[in-house]
Amino acid sequence: MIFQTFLFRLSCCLLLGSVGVASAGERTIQERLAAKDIDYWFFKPLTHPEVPVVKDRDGWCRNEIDRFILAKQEALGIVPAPRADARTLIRRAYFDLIGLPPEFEEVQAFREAYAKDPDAAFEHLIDELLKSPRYGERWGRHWLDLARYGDSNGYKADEYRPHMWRYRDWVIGALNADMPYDQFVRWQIAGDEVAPENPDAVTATGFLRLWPYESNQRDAPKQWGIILEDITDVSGSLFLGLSMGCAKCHDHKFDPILQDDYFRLQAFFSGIYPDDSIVAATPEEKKVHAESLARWEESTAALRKERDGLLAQGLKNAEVNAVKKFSPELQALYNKPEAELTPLEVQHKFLIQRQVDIEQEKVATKLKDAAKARYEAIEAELKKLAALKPKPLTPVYAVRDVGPVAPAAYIPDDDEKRSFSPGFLSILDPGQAKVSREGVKAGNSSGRRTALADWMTRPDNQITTRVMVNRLWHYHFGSGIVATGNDFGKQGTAPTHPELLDWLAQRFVQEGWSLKRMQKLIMTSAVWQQASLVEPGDAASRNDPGNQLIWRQRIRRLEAEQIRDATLQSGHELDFTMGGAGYDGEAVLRRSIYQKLMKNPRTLFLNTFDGPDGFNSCACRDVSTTAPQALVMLNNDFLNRRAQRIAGLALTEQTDDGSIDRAFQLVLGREPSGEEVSQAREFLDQVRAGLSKNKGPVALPPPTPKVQTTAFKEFPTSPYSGGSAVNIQPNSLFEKVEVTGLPRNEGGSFTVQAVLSLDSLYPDASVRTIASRWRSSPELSADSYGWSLGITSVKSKYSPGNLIVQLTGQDNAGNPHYEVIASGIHLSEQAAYYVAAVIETGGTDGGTVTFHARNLSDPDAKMESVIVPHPFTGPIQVPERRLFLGGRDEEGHLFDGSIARFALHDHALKAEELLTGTSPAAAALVDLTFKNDQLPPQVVRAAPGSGSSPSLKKSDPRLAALIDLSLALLNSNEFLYID
Amino acid sequence: MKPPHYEMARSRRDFLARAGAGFGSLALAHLLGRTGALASSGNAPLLRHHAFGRAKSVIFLFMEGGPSHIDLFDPKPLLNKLAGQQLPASFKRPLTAMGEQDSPILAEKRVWKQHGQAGTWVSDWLPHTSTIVDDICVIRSCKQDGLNHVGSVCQMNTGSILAGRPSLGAWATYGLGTENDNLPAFVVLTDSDAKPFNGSRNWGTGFMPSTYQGTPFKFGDEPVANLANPGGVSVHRQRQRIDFINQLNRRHIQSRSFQSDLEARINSFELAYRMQAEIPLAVDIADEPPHITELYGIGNPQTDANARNCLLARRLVERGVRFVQVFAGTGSKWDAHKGIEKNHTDRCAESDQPVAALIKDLKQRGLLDETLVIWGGEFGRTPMSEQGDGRDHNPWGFTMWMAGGGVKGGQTLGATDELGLYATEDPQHVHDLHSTILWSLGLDARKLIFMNNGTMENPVINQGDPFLKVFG
Repeated sequence: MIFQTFLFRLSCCLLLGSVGVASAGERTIQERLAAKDIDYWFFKPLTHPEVPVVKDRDGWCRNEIDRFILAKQEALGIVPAPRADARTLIRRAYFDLIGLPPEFEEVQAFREAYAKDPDAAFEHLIDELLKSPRYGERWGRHWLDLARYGDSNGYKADEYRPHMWRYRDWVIGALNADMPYDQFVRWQIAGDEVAPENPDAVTATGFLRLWPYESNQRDAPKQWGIILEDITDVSGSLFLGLSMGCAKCHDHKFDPILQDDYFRLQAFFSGIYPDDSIVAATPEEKKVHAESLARWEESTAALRKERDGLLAQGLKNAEVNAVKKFSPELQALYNKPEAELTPLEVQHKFLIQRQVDIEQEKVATKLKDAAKARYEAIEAELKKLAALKPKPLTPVYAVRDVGPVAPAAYIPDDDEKRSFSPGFLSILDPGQAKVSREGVKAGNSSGRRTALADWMTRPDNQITTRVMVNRLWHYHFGSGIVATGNDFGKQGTAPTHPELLDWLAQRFVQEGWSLKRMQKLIMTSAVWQQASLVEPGDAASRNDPGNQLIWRQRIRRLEAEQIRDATLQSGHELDFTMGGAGYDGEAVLRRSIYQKLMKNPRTLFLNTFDGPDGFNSCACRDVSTTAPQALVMLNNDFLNRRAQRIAGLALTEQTDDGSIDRAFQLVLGREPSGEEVSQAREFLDQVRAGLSKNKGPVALPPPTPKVQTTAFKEFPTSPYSGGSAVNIQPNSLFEKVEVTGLPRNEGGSFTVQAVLSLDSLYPDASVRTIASRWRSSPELSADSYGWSLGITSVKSKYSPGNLIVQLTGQDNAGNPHYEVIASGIHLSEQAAYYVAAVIETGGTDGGTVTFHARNLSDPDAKMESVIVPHPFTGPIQVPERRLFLGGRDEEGHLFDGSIARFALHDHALKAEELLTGTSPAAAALVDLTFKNDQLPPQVVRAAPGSGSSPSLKKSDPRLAALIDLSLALLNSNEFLYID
Repeated sequence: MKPPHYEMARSRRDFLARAGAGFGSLALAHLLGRTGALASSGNAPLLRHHAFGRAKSVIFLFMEGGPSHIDLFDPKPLLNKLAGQQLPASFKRPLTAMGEQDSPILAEKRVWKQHGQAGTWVSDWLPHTSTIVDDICVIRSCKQDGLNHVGSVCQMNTGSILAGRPSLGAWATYGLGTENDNLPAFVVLTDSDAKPFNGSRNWGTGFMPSTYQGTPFKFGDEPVANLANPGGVSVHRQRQRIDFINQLNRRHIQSRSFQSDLEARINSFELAYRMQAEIPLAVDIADEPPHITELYGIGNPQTDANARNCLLARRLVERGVRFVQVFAGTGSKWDAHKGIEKNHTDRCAESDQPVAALIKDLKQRGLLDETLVIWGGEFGRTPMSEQGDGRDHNPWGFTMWMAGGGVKGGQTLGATDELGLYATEDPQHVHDLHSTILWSLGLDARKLIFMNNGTMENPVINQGDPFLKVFG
């Protein structure tokens, strides 16, 4: 094996005091290496350690891993901890594998199963979690840390990269599918070479596009050098576990890594070309697209020719102006005929061209007068033909090679202008890497990256295999066998269990490079399942007080995303929509991994809780504990909304003790102890006392409830509802109710149906809201998007009793817009009605609302139906807004009457699919009927006046106290740490 | 001195203290390894490296966008002689940021005088600064690697033109901790709602823990993000909340006493609570007497924003804040590519009086010697014109000044060439400037080590030396 041979030869040479018969150049390398510690363990081949024989008197060991662990402990007389209890195990397993806490009910179910058969229950749990799509969302985040993922360019402008997320989604998908790690690596480094026809493999090369990019940097060669350095540094840390960056300017001071090695590694990447026209599509898709595009081009040829003529001069000027800003040398380069450009010049020209493109994109907007008018007319004509145009293929940030010949790598500002061909670490293989185009499927590629990927994924590569299994260990134990996961060199820490590391590395390859199999192996070990809450025995305190030998599990703090996701999960608010473009800010309640990650302004949680910076490969998150963290957790609007939500759920319990129980279950996944209940009760009393003492803004009296005892009311039986309804009245305890637990939001086209009876219309201009997901705002913005189905007031300009839909969203001009869509169907008071609104958006010009209503109290009444067009193209929702019956996600506009049935579908139902129709509809998001005993579990009583903001000004003291209790639980160490 | 708002056992001293309380050397090694935050022994954050260390605090007055040194501190008579002509062939022609390759030399229209006992040259654009020249040391030979704002602002704040490194304030905080538990150790002030180039990265921590990052303050109801209680929560109720959280956490810690960060978290709530009380007081300048607010120019619309920031900077260092970064002309407003007359007339009028007032005020309180004040932008401006009446970026030679913190006032050091294009005498790269600043704090920049991924990082990337002439 190459890996062994050279070391062996080098060692011999040293022993003999000779440099052998190698060439002059190689001799220099050998001499330079000889000055370093060439016997350093990390560069030696994998050893084949026997699984140690242990005494194991207590029968502690579960698998081979444990024997490696126990052998070291026994040697020092240390006794490992027993297995943790069931609740600890499930919580630890959930956070490790899916990054979320288990719900109380899941904990209970696991405890029962565990009591019957612990091993089977636990194995089943691991299998289920590994199968969960949430797994990729947790482990994808680890990989994104390592790959320095971000959705923007960095630098001042920090432009958004609109399709970078496709790489993020690819990572999540690949991990969910347990893609073998060798393929996972191969695709990221050379997917375009080894599988150019596979859209996923091409998307994976997005890894090579994650460098910061400065859109107005005029020194193109310098920027290209910086880009290659970024890729080299990250690859060195991520795959090789070495701080290669130290060798950029000189031989590594501590490790046997030469400056040459840095540029030899860089030379594998020096052929890349970050082509923005690359799409993720199969050859068939490309063919179909091309054909269809050709047809469109043919039918629009004349129009486009005229348009291009209008733009031609402007484009030329823009090009000249953009190019003028570069140095005379680069201007000359830009103007050279393509055929005369060297590959390196092609790469430099790419960076110039990008700036030209930016200027040229502005040209059309600068047209004036007649040209402008004609241009717009042509565009309008073209828009009419838009239906002919095929949808663009999926754009991705990917790479290809600049050509079959890749430029060499160069040391910047090197007087000798030395150039480097691809090569592996000299200590392992001082010769040039063998780059062949065998196995390279892309026609025009150098094969360099394939050669690197081949080397990295060799089953006997001691570097890459050790580095990856160590990362797995790190993520399951809070620290790797080598604690410095991105530096296995001498400046890093030594392995605590070198034999186990090598054993795991080989097992990893034997298991087909499967991460999931390795994780199951690790998690079914006794060492992983140990309790963390044990005091050290004498031997442990004496010999290993720092727990390096893992005689108990390590307590770990949640990471930034886990904290955010877990707070959302506690109130059952987490939206599990997967994938797609990153969402902005904190108002969208999806998992944190899908948040848009700009390189410059970091998100609240990443900024507060030691998130990675998106510039460096991050192997190990810091765990800092700061006062600003406490300020965020106590005072930030996001946290207080979560606490309010949890309190709202807990408030449905009738008694304090019940509410306390519920809050503990929601946040901590367990029931409180008797002592905890009494302390919490005392706390609730204190808060309430404080509120009633202080007649300031917090102490407004609670509204006097009209209906105290029951939320229910008899309702005339109909084919569409039972004999009971929820009675919704302003200023009652049930002035509106929230509907929770939807598997997803209803989206842009949906159907609302209800059976109801209206007691009164508003005397003022307010609307009797039947159902809504909306918080209105005098200023239209994306934050005020939403919908509401309601009935107009006595004073309404749409005539009283009119069934209407109010929509706020994006209109067909792309602007925020508000509109009342009135049906003209009028509802009488004190009569039972079936009503429906089928809301469709998403067309290019807008959509429709189809209303249906039928008076159920009048046997002769027929269904009235009407279709009303509207200009909304969507979106028409803020996903964070809550779904209410009888009101909005703000104060006012309350219903007065009874609602006997409510159904919501996430698509437009045809007339026959309605509740009144003949053919059954697809499953509803929610379909509620009401009985006289208790509210359906999805329905949460909304406290009077709640919903507008977390301000507690008008809430009742009981709710306020429960909010404080919930916030305190979210701030508890028990919530933030994993035992 | 303590590390800022940060209770986990991560300082060497803290480790040693804990080692005495039952933690053996293995624990020490483990924690060191796990956190990767501290160098092995011998590198000792929290300890001054040398005896000079005069400054306890730093106020960095950052003139964002790049003020023109040749119109403010570095007079060049040759400019007006060659006005309208090309850069003489004897000058190496630089690659300019905006790419105007052949623009002629632009005349300067200033009236220059020597001021103070030392006879320091200052132009008529800075009449107030002219009155403090005997307290400042003008360094005319600064230079840096960036050409655009993004790289240059980044380097002036973090040492590198590329993102990813800790800011100077973070390094100072890492090295010296805080003097006041109830305030952030590192505070950032901007003179408008505009964002500085690179935004929070200018006060970020790169590869260090978030503990050391700068905290932006602003005037108004909530000077710091998340400082105010949520709507309707009284001080009393906030106290009740924290007490209950403490109750929960103290119960939780009973069986986990070995886990030091759990205890740190309990303390962090107390610190947060105290910060909630103290920050509003620090920011409330209503208790300043009229002669002080007038000195700074508070109330005058033109100077008000900078006056408030300079006054607040003084109040903060008075209270033990380690590093105050004040952005003047936030959002690159000194960037006079065109119409430099109007641009610099305005910028100087906005900042000159507040800056001079700060020096005078610190001095009259006896704080100047323990406060290092730095004035300057990310670069200067070219002798060549741009767009007819502006000047392009000049990172090759420009002026900054320092005062206090042991700096010997009344000096003018270093020089640029006859047109102010390149630094020629005692060139001071950003790494040198950072070394000098840290030196004033008693820190040796090359010995201030942070272990990152096995690399011994320091603030100056193994380059640069303190410019000791600054200290006389």
